[in-house]
Amino acid sequence: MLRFAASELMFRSGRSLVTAVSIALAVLAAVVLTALASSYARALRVPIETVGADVIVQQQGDIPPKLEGLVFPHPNALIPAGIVAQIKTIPGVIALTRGVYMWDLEPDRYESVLGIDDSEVGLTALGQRLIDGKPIAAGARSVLLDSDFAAKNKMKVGDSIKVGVDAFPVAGIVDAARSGKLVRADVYMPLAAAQGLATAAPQVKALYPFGADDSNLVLVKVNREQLQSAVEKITALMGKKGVVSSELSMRDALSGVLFLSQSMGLIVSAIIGLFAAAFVWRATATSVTERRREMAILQAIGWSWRRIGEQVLIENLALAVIGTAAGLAVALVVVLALGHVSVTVDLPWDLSSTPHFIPTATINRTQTITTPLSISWLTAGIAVAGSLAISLLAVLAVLALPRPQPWSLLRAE
Amino acid sequence: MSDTAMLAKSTPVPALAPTDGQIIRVERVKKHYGDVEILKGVDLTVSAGQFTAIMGKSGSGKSTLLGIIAGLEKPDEGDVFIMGHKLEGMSDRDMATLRRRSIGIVFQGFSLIPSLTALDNVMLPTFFATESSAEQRRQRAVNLLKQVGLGERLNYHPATLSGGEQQRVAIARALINSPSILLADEPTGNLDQETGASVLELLLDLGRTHGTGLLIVTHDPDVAAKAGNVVEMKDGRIIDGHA
Repeated sequence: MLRFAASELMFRSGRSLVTAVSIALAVLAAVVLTALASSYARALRVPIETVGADVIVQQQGDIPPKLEGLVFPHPNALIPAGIVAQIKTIPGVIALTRGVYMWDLEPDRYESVLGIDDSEVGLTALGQRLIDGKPIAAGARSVLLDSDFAAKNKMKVGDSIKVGVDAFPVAGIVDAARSGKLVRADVYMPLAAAQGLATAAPQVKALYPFGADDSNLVLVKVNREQLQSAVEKITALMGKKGVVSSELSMRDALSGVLFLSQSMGLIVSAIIGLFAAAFVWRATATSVTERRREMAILQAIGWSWRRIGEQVLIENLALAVIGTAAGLAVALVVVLALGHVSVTVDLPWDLSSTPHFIPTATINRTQTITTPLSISWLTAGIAVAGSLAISLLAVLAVLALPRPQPWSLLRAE
Repeated sequence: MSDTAMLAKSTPVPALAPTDGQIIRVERVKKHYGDVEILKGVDLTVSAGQFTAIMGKSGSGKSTLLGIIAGLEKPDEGDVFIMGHKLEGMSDRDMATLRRRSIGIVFQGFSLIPSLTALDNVMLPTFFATESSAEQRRQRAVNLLKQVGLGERLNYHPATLSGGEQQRVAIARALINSPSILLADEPTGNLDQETGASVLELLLDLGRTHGTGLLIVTHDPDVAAKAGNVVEMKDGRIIDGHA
């Protein structure tokens, strides 16, 4: 039967080719578009993942009376220690890192300063990204500098840098920009040191009753399955001025990109799939109609209708397998050739707060996110099953049509 | 080893045994197409090994009768028995098995599958045979094609064969399972006189060699002249039957 099927498909090579190509196109579209959609979806998580957390908790505050010395950016208002303690108890919260993020606005210079806990997204992570010098411990009175900042200001390990009114020795240089999983700042120090600076800073004290154990930035690692409920609870806890950023909020902010990726991918895949299904049905119906006399001959020489159906099914499945294999192969080539997708997004100011009123300090808030493209083998499996199902259903649908008496197609008179 | 000896050595698909020597029995068969009554109560019997010709003008109902005997057309009334098996009520699968094992059919229009070679066309009725190996079936098909003079054209496709050659392939195919009954519907109708005569001789020779009962529908008196039994039909009735 397989040889018969092969002969038949070769004999009608034009139709076989078009049918296989239509299946291949459907598989190609489904696999590539899904790969693109997954990649875009991953890209949406990048701005959040860049800081090494699932959820970033901030509080909207006010602009200080004077923009001088150490100030809190207005999305980084006081988060009392009591609130942080409550966040810790929310179901799904795995770990929590506190930070104090400040701008140091001096007449001749500007720097962003981050004091952070000793955690895997805090001092430990900074220690792993050292390109010069040595790491700093929680109780240290020294700082680490971002490599870009150090290069721009011609600073090196062993130098001293003034933060607010205090001078700190530079213990090391870190490549924070290119390693990710960190909140970007120019100067990094232990949390306690930053808390000490904040409690003494006049422009902080003018706005907030900042205590020695308080913070203004909390990075939360959350069990992904409980992300939504954890975000809802944190949001409720923070109140109206709370800013809770996660991939969920990014998804809302970038709804256009999301629509283009996931929804459009699914819609286009579905349309192409339906088109392919209709074509396969049509090709099968035409083939069976053209071969009615052949089928009558087969009946006359002892083939049952079921055997004939099996023969048509083998032919269709062969085309489905060929088309699917070709579609997957081309999809693999396309995905390998594209390699990745790049999405340029406008980061919310809350996630990249820099003093825009200081031209030299302004960081480009658009972020081009590049994520690798990869084939989802689940999608590929579904595409394979779908194309086989389409072929099977096409045969069943066609063979279910009323069939003529074979003798009317074979008789001499 | 001669072709006949090789054929005898190979293992054919066993045919069902005839009942009381009758391989075909038709009783009071009627058939309508719309308002037109094609068969008006036909009775006919064919015995094993007998050559019977059904003659009649176009529209006399002879081809319809052959189709009903082959189980490829359903009668409106009456019964048909093949090798003692009543066709009415038989499942499609059983009917297919009966045709495959006991009936060979040759059509006027050759009726080969265009995508297959001559050899594959001859082997088509044996695809589901389990009684012999694929190699035995292939060997039997090769021998039959040699017997019909096409031993050199095993791998030719129908489009590359002449009409006479195609009909020889069709005859080989009809005999591949050593049927008890060979039905032929105007087998020489599409051939010139000389080719038709040689095809008919081949059909008769092979029928005799294989002990096959032969029922031919024809309106060619030369064909009928070679039959042991001639049945004449007119207006859906058998008007004459003589040996």
